[in-house]
Amino acid sequence: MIVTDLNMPHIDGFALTKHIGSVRPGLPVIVTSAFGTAETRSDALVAGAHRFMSKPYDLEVLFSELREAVTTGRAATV
Amino acid sequence: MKAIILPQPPLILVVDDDRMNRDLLQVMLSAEGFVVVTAASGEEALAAIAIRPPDLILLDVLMPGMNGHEVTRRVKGNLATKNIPVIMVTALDDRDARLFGLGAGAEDFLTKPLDRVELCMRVRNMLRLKASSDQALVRRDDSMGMVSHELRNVLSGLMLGAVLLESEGTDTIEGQRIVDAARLMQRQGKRMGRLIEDLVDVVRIDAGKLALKPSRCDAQVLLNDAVETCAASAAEKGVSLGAESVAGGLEADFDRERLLQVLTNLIGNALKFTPSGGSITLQATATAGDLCLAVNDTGVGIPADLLGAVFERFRQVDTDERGLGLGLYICRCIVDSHGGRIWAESVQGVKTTFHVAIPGLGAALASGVLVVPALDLPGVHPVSEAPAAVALGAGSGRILVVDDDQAICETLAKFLTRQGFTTEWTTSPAEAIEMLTTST
Repeated sequence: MIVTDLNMPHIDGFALTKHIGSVRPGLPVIVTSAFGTAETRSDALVAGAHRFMSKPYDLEVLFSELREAVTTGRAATV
Repeated sequence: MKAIILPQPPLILVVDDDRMNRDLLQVMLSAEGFVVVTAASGEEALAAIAIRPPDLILLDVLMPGMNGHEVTRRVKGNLATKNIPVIMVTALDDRDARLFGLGAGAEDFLTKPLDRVELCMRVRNMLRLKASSDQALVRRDDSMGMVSHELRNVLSGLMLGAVLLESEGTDTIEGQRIVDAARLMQRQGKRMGRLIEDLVDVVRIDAGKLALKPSRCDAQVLLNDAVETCAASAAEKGVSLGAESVAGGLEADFDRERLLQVLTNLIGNALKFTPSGGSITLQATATAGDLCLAVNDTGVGIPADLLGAVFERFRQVDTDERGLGLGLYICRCIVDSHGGRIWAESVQGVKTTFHVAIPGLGAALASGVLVVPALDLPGVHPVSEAPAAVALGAGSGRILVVDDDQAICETLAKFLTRQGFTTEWTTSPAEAIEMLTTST
């Protein structure tokens, strides 16, 4: 699984998510951002993110998302 | 004075029921390089504004049907158009009409017969003011966006640290003190997070960017979600919180997330003013084609003279309670955007009810509301597409954390490792791609 930030230099989280989708389809990506608006959420999901979470993280939600991704068998090994 | 360059020829809407006047203004303004569109009535003007908002409106006052004052009131009452300057055109001796127009929100007025030079000067001055205020708004939005981004990032690190600290706690007295302090930090951090969200929302509202994504939703589900979201806070305060069951199922078109935000704001507000042992009850009914939601509490109540004022921005009824006083203002803006109404009723010392009425049960949202269509989101890749799906136990699996903030990487990785995950992190997306390509 990948947990990635959105706003990063050179390659942003959208590009990273798209790239992962092409090289490792099925690998769950959780995109997180401090720019947590409805639009960024939609854009992240369109880019292929499994989930979008606003920062600051709700760790309980993040943990349950990660556990769900594993237990439902959506995970591919990194 | 520093000149402000306008990006394209300004669009001016001329509204007058007299064709001669319209033609005359069009000729004068076109000769100055402005793009002119005309409307022959107030109704036509509102339609033209909805299709393409002009940079300035020149508005005749006396028109059959909707007059200039009503057009001004509507333009200024709409979040999306309130910043468009309005110049009223009145008869020279009609002082009352001028004062009424300025009172309705018009920025300036011109008197008939129009003087071409004065007309062009006033139009140019007004456009310069608007361009300058537009630039200031853009700058404010940009800096607000950057500041809130940085604040959320820093807060993320602090919250992660507090969670880690809590998990360090032991059964000793000192250990318990650490746990209590770490929990306090988390509670305060969550509150700060909510305040940042409120500020971001207000900036979006002011910029006319509050976008709704309405869809057909079940009112009962909405109430239940609101109760679930606030259950922990209510229990902590010793207040009972519940939703009455909706008779016969009730569906309407609304933005589920935004109305949930309204209800949780209203519940949060009720919790502030309801003492331990009290109760908060949610209701949904259909009244005269509206979906009516109510949040009832047995709190201290609101003085009658403040019932309308509570929805103003930065307004706080009780200054002892902390917060920015933005919650109810945001509620009102969200309800307004739905074309609905929000109001409060209260018996001091006994109870308060906040009502929300959303129009159009079974009908689409009214026009004029800022609506963006919901995106068609692709689903998660089905399991069959996963090249190497594996079934692992809870809290196990390999996770790669990618964030250009190293503190967040380290803390999150530490937290996830504690939860049983095998964790790696990198601050470089390029390195993440490299790791993906080389690992199996």
